[in-house]
Amino acid sequence: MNIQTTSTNAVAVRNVFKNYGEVEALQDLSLDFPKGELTSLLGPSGCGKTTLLKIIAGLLPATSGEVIVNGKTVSGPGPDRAFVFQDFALLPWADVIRNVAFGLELRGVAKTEREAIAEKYISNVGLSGFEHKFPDQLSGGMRQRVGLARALSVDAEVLLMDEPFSAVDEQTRRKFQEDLLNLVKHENKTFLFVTHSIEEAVYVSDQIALLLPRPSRVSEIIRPGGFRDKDVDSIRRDPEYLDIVDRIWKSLRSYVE
Amino acid sequence: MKLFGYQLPAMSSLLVWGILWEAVGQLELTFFLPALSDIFVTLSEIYSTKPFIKALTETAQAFFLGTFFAISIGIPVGILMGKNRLIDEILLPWVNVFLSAPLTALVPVLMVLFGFGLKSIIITTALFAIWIIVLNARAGVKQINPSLVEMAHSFGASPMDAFLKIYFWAALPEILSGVRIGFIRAVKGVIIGQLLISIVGFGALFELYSQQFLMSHFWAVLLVLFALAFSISEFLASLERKVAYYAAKR
Amino acid sequence: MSFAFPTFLESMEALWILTVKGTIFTAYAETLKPLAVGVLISAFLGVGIGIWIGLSRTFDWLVSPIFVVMQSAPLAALIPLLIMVYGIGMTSKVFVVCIMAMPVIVLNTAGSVRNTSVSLIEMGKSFLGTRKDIILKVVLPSASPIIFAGLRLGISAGFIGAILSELKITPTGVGDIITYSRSIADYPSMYAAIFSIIVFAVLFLNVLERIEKRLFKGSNNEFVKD
Repeated sequence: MNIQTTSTNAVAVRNVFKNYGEVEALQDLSLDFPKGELTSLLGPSGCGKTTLLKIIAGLLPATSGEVIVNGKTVSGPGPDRAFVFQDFALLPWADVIRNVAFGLELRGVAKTEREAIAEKYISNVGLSGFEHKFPDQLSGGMRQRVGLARALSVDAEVLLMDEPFSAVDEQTRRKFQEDLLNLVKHENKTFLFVTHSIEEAVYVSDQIALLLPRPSRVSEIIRPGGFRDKDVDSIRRDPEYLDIVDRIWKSLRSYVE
Repeated sequence: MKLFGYQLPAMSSLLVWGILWEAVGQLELTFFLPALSDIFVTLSEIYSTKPFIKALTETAQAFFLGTFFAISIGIPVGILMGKNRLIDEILLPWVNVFLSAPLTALVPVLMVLFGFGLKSIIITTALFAIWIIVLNARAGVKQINPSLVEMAHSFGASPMDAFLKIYFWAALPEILSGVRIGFIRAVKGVIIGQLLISIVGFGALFELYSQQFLMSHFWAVLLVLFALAFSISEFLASLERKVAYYAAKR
Repeated sequence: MSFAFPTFLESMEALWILTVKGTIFTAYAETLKPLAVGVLISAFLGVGIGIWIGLSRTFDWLVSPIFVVMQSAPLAALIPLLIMVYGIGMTSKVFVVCIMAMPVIVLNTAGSVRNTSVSLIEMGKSFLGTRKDIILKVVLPSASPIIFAGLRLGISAGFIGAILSELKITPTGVGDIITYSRSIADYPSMYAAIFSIIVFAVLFLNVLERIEKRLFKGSNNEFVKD
């Protein structure tokens, strides 16, 4: 049965349960992700945010409940969703251009065509000139950019990012966050972003879903407002930004182990 | 693998193969494979007989003496190599050579130098086992986290204390792993020694039974040997597992 | 020691004579025949079985224990049995090489296939890779370094098998030179032959190791099982 999502929601999660044997990872979770926006899933360890993301991606089956993406119920991975992995998941034996084109390769796109598309996104993420380097020759930040370019190349409507910046150093991470803001502005996609960093979530998101563990549930939805249009350098000193960060920390504090 | 929802234990398919073997034997499909039950019967008949016990003691003697030498020489040498660059540079190439060399080819040399007796077999056994023990002991020492060394210094530990309380345990997982592989190689060594050098121990029994086509006897002894080798290996693996809890996080 | 321990020079002289007479070359040809055949069979069968084990839990449950037992068992003990069944010809020798080489090849292949990074497989699935695609483009390339290392160890074990079968089954090739020289107390020749086979094996395996390092640089190498 296809549920009509409202035209403003790209992804709708309805009453999703996920059990691992006796352990209840997700309990009756329902959430909407507005189209064209970046929504963060923010919460402490063990709150099930990566599990939820993978269920939406179709990489994990939900025990019950359903996920609807652009009007269609999810039953596995699909061309409408692309995933960016926390540990980059690059093929160590393939060069950058093959890695970026890999999603297209698996879809049967011809070599010249897919390499042309890959070239474009390689330059979009700022890696021009590195096409024939191998992952072990790249820094962590560059590797993640390859992962991002790969996800962008398949031109999916929904981009799922699993703590994409947690494996790089702080400075690179800040740069990534700035670049991400630009990306959201210019690409006509819906972004689902998992993070455990409060500052990061408030910085990049149009909407933050606060997840709490045991049992996993959505405790709050926050929409950071006014500072979104400021330039990237001023956001981190904006009073509203600092207020929201503080508020969230107070909510989450008691759940830190 | 799950059957009717129950997780089957790891080596349980051996039961299936055992049943198959029994069937093959009962149907007398080949002369060379008697029924498993017959083999067990033969085993129960011979295990208390003098020739068998003699063979077992001879083999065990050679095996344990050989491994004793391999361990008591190999571990210290490996540790020395791990700690001292000069010794390492001199000895490492040789260790690597003998690790990959077909040691079987050296057995005739041993026969010529040390005669046809137990001595040669013990030396063969030791030679088969020692190289991997040396290499792993060296690796164990080399990978000791420098922070641990600094910590020992900063708390004023004496060299003996440092060795016994820190370095030994830090290197233990690798050393145990080397000993386990060494033991398996030693078993191969003692058998190859017995097949080539002098016909004693289990090697003698194999020769005897095969020449007289006593298949049940042959398989009985073979199974005993395999079972022993496997048990020793598993015992050492269980020791390794006991220290595995900290092995990955050193 | 004794007269049985000739000087290095004497042995080298003997080696030289063997080379010049061409004896050493015919000997190696003889010895390498069952080795080559055995290794090729072991490689194809071994890698094939290993991949199957790595991909299928059922097949793993059924077949792995056999190879695990073979790994720790002194397979040389089976040689008298093989002689009984297959006589003293080439077949036995090939068999000996195979039983020595296969376990390590199978277990390493199976292990590396089974331990393919979950993250990479998930990535393949997320980009809509079919099962065949994922096996060919992710699992096998990822497993190659260890498969290759397993092959190298298998060849090393095969060498032992080849020499063992020559010393025990029928004297041919290099084993024959060793046994014969010993029996006529021509110790320099015996040492020469032994020296040559050890050098040959070590060099060969070293070359393989270098090729392996060059082919697979940049891949993360997990621990290879002996």
